[in-house]
Amino acid sequence: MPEKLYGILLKLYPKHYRRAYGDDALRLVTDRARDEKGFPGRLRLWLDLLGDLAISLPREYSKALRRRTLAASPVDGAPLFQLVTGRSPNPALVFAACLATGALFWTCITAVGRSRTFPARFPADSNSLQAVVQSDVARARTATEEESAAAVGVYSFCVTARREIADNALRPILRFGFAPPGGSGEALLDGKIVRKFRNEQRLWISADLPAGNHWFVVRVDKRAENASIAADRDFKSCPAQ
Amino acid sequence: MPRRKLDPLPSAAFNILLALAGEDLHGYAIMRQVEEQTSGRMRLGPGTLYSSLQTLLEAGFIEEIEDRSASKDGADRRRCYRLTRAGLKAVRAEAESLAQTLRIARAKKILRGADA
Repeated sequence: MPEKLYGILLKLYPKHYRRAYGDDALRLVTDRARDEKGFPGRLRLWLDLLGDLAISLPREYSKALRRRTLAASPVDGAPLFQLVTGRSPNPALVFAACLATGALFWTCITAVGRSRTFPARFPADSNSLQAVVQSDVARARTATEEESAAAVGVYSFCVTARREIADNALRPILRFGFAPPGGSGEALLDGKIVRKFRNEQRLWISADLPAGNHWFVVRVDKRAENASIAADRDFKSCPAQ
Repeated sequence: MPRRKLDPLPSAAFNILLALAGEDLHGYAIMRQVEEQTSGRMRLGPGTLYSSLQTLLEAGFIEEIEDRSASKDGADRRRCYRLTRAGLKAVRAEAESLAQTLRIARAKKILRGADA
């Protein structure tokens, strides 16, 4: 019995130790269990084993870590990096690495900035939906040239309703926020105007929706401070457009 | 580097070397010998014992040898350990250091029965 239990405890040790001494350690416990019978003997055995475990386990992991850090050759076939100590990195290389990192960072920031014409922010819970804010695409698709000239901001969203959704003002599908005195414009659902609004700081849009894909387009005379799209079990992202 | 770790010798390592000074032993026998020579005060668990043995092997203080008592089919083969010349030197140096400490303790009459 103690051997079986110790066999389980042995799995707590690092692989290197188990490979090297696992069998011997198990055999030692077997020998002790054979020689130390009765309650006092077994109690002493287990107190020794648990005390030993508490002391030797951290030490073995510390050794294994040190070995991994310092070893020049791979351990268990895994590639290792050797720490180089006592030598400073080349200043020219450090400078070049800083420049390269800065250039990469600047490129990423510029690319992200170009991809979003309007600053639309979405709450974390809308991640499951593919909410698309494409001012240029939407302007071309939903408005004539004259209309688009009048509209400063055009926001376009594709939503898939999993089932038929009833118009419920308390549970809007889209939410927009505009800086005072608010935005004016109109909201379209699948090409039809469903709402006209004037100087609204907080615009909530709800509508009767049959199941399936629907395009919402909001044309407004100013940029939205924020915009969000409903994210719950009744809606999901549109198939890739 | 292991030598630095073993200077001074940890108590477990010193007792293991002392146990091997008499004869070649396997792990369990070392544990029993250490228990006996410390009057039961030190019972080395498997983790401490084999960790110490590994350190002593790396330091070159002990070496592994064939188990002569094992049967021919090798079913009960165990790893036995033998004290090396370097190990003997190390355990002797440690024992002399302890003896010096003991002499001081005696001179200062810290030990019971030191007058005797």
